[in-house]
Amino acid sequence: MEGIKPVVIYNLGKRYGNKTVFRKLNLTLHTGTTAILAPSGYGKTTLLRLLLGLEKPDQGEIRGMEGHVCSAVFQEDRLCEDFSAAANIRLAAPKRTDEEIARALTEYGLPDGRIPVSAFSGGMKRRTALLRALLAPSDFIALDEPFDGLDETLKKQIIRRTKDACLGKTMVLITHDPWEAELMGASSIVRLQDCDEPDSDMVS
Amino acid sequence: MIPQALKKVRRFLPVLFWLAVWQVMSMVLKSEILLVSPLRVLISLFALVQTPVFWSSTGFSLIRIFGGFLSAALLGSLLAALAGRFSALRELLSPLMLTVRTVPVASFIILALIWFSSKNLSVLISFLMVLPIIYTSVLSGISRRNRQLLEMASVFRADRLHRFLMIDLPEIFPFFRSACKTAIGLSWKSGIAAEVIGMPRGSVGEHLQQAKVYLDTPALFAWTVVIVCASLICEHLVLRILDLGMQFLRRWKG
Repeated sequence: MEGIKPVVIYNLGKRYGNKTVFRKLNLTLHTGTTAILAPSGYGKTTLLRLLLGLEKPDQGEIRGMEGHVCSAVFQEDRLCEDFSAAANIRLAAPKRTDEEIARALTEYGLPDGRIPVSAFSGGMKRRTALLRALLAPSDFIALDEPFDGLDETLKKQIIRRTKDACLGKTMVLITHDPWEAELMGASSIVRLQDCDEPDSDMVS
Repeated sequence: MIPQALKKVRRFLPVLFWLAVWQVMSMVLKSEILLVSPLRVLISLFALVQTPVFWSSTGFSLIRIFGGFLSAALLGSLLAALAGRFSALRELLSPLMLTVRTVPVASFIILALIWFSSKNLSVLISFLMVLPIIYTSVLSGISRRNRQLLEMASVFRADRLHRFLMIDLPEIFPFFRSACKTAIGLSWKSGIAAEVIGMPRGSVGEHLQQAKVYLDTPALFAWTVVIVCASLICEHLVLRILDLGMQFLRRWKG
């Protein structure tokens, strides 16, 4: 197997209309967890969409994403509401056996029955979305506030399990909580503001 | 238990009220040609059901009208799926569908009579009425699919079949279902209108036309009841099959 190359974000620029999200963003993602901290509205989700190839940058480029198999927890849960947690996971991870999925569901405190996700609580939906991303075949995982809405008592346990499930993969964790980044064992914690060229218009 | 039964009875009260109004009006008018009484219609219907002609004519019209509906539902869905994928096709079909939807059904009937024989006229007319309804609804269902789920599926590289079953189908289904509900009633109305004008031998429309010629109002009403019932039964069956199919899918995919 060839060595895993880092993903390099080079001089990335992105605008929506006349709102500039990034001017010249530079960031390198190595194997392991990179936690990205930023206040809301700072383009965290845009960065994730660019990494996943859901948007094209206006300038600059992202190198080293080709060949990666991605999975993600989006800002929203994005579950097929009419179907069970197991069916949702199977959609993303068709090669997993029923036993594997059942075991994982139990570990995450989710029901392994024909209960549609629409009947789940917010926390249960979040855990389903997280589990889907972890069980899907991937070597690059993008997590957008994955632990949001989780029960505080469960959070620590879920974060630990997530950390174990991501060993050897490249992971981007977007969060506003440095504690989560630490618990996930992030090899680098990055403030998004520090990676972008300062906005000259805003400097007075 | 009792309130449930009461509710059912209450639902029929308005029906009974209007039947009574009808009965009273026919008694006041005292003319079977102008307005026949509901009781007389019932007797006429009862006599009708016992004749072989009733079954053959109903079967004749049913097969053609429902056949027109079914082929339009299939082709409409298929065209909508293709138009959802290829915008050039959508633009190409747009004026055609608009024309079919807005041209009066009578114009189509007469044109079809000039071009073809009247025997299978109701297939074509029912098909033409249903096609744009199904096409437009399914297409708008396709364009209103949840973008977030589609993105999710593409990130996870979900296979085409599962994408269709778990994302596309549940989102498009309500559009298709309500289109079918509207279209079935319309296919019967337009199909029978076509038969009345074209008078294919052995059709329900032919009997309506005869009722007109002989001023046989009881027969007209009786055949109308038959048409309404046939339309409602078709609607009920189609919706039931669709719902069962969807239920099966949910249970099957868990």
